[in-house]
Amino acid sequence: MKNGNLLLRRTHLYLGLLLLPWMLLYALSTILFNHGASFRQYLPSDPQWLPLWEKDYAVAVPPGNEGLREITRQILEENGVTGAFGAQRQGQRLNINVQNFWQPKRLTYDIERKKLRAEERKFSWVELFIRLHRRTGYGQPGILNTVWAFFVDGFCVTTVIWIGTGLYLWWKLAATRVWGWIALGGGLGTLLVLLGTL
Amino acid sequence: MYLALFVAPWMLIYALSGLVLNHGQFIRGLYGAKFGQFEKVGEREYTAAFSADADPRLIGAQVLEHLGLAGSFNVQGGANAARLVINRNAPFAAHRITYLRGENRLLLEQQNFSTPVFLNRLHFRHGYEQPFLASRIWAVIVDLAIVAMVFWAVSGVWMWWEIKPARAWGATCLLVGFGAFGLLLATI
Repeated sequence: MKNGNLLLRRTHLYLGLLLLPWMLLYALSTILFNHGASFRQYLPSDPQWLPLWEKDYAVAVPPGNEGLREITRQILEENGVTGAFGAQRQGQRLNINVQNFWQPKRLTYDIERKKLRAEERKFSWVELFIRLHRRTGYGQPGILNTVWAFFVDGFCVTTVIWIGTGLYLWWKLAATRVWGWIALGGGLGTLLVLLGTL
Repeated sequence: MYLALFVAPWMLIYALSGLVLNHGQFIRGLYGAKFGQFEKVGEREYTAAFSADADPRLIGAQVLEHLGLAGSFNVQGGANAARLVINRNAPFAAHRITYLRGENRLLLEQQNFSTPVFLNRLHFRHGYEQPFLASRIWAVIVDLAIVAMVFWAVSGVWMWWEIKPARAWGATCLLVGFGAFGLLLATI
C-alpha cells in the first residue's frame, strides 16, 4: 500500500516535471485567448504577410480534394519549402499554409496564370503563443511534427492522470476532505449550472 | 489543492477535447459525413423593422430573443447586409440562424450533437466580450484554471526540490522536457 502510494506520488511528480513547458505554455497562452481584446494591439500591423518571391511554375492541380495533399507536397519539395502544411483549392487558386511557430509561410498558386507566390507572416509574440497552443494533429511530414503531436497526447493523457492521482492524494488527507468535497462539488455544480445557462 | 479540485472538471474537458483535436481526422472518420454538420430545422417568417444602420449585434440579439434562444452569439454580416448569419453557441446545441432581411424570413439550422463537438465547443469558449453573466463566470473560471496551472507548475518544482530522493530523476525529466520543447520550438 505504501509502495503504491509512493508510485502514484512519483508518477504525478515526474510527469509534471517532464511536461512542465507544455503546462506553462497552455496556461500562459490561454491568457491571450481569454483576454484577447487586451492583446489585439500586439498583433502584426497590415500588411501582415510579407512577400518572399513570385515565380512561373507549372503543375496540374486536381479539381477536388483528392490528391491535393500529394500535389501540394510536390510543390513544396520542388520549391524548397518544408514544414507541416494545409492546402485548400479555391476556384483557380491553390492556397497552401506552411506552419512554423516563428514565421509561417503562405504559398498561393494561380492555376490559370501558372504563377506561384510565397509570403511570410510578420512575427509577433502573441501569435507565436497562439500557434503553439493551437498546433495539434498527426499526419504531417517529418518526425518532429509527430513528436509534437505525441507530446500533445502525452499532456492530455497526463492531465487525466493528474486529476485521478490528485483526487486520490486528496482522499488520503483525511483532514482536508470536507473542504475538498466543497471545492469539488462547487466546481461540478458551477459547471452544470453554466452548461444549462450559457 | 482546493482550487485544483474546483477546476478539475474544466481540466478534464480541456484534456479530452485536446485529444479530440489531436486526432481530428480519426474522430471525423469515426462519425462519418454528418460530423459537425448543420441541418435545417425550420424556417419562419420574421417581420421586424430595423433601420438601415442598425447594429448587427442588436438585430442578432432580438432575433434570438424572438426564437427563445437568447445567449452568447456572434453575427456575420454588416448593418446593411441583406443576409445576416447569427451563430448561437450553446454548450449542447449550436444554432445557425440566417436572417434574410429582404424576405422577412429566418432560416434555422442546428448542428448535429456529438460528444467531440460538445467538448470542443466548451474548449473554445473563452473571453469577456459577451454581455451575459454565465459567459463572464465561465471566463473567470478560465482565468482560475490559468492561475491553478501556473501554481501547479511552480509548486511542483518546489515540491520536487524538497524531496531529495527524487532530485536526480526529477532533474532528468525536467531536462528531457525542456530539451524536447526547445528543439521542437526551434525547428517546426
